[in-house]
Amino acid sequence: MDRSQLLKGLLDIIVLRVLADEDAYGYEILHRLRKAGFEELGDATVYGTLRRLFKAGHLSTYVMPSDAGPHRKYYALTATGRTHLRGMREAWEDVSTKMRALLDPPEKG
Amino acid sequence: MTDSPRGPEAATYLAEVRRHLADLPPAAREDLLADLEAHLNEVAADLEPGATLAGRLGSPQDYAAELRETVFVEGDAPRAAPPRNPLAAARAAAVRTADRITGSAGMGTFAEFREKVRPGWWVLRGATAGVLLCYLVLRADPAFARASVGHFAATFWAVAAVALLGTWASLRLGTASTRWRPGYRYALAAGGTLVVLWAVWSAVDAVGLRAYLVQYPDAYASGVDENPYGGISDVYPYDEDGELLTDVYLLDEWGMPIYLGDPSYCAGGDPLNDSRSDPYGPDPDLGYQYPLCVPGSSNESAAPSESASEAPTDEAGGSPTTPEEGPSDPSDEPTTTQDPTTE
Repeated sequence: MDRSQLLKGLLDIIVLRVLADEDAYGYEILHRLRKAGFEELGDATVYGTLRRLFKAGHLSTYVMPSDAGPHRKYYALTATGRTHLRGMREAWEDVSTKMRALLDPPEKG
Repeated sequence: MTDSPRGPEAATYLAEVRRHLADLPPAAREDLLADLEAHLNEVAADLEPGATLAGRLGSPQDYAAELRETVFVEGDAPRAAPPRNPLAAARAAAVRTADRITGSAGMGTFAEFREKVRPGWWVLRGATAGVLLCYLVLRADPAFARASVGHFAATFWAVAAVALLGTWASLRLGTASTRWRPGYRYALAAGGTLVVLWAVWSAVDAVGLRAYLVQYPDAYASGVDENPYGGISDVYPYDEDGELLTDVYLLDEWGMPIYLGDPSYCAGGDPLNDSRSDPYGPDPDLGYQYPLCVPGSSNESAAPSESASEAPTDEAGGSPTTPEEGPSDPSDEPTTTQDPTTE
């Protein structure tokens, strides 16, 4: 089944978490997501999410020269970004627990 | 940021994506695309040799669709929200139509098209202002204008220089105005439009002026600013035998009727025939029939000699009235005569 719809609501938490440990530029972020197994997230999706998070103040950017090619725009979490990530994560844990319980009801005993 | 060898490819891809987002509200679209060029350049720079941007990212159309879905995931602005008041709705519809027209012409959205055309407008506005200024100076001093016509080459280069200067100033003004507040920019746009309209009006006027100068070379120089034939009330054409011609039309070199005198007012006499006092006026293609009035009915009527004015009497044999009846008395029932049988 197409998971992109399922992931849509999780884009913020995914991208914020990927950036939480270390700043990265657009293409690098995509690589990290691939490594984490999110193959179905396209470049446009990631770029769009970055723009949206940046506009909301969850991300800040800075430009770094690269050895080859154009300068790279790096994204970094802001304080509100970290707060947002924490809130999203709590929500996800909650939903995740309930989902697990719903899908695999604990044996009554 | 197009310093990479992949720059053109990224630019083309970006233009395609932009085209597929053309229906978004301009603010939202530009916000989306603001950074995309740099991003695409980054991606392009990381491409393996032989790989293409479209191969790496998918078609621009899919990319645009994905972008659209991602950014508006929370439903903050799924599409251009329908404007609340009818005026804004009409404006949005007009913009959509304009976008479709410019888009189908391959010029992107109307806003993009306007951006591209804007410097052209600045050039037009500036050059026009320069030429108009020259024209007004020449117009203000007829003697100077006549002298300038004599030195055509010098005048031409002087006007060209002023036009160039105006263009430069207009470009400076234009680039500076992009940082102005909208009110000032609208005022500048209105001013530019006014200058161009004024110039068009002046050009129409100047063509008339030139025709006038050609027709009456001395009139303008001597300051006599009126038609030298303005005092004429009628025209009496004669052929080479001295015979008065009737039912004559006068046309200028353009085939336009020449109107001289007033057929409804014949000094001391009456209109020559009914058609001349016709309530619907003269034939628009041919104008008045001359002479307008019965010759000789007034004292100062133009008749070079007795014989000449008598001649048409003989010519008017087809007239229903007898020729002998005419000459009996000039004031005797001229209305019944259909031809100039007087004197």
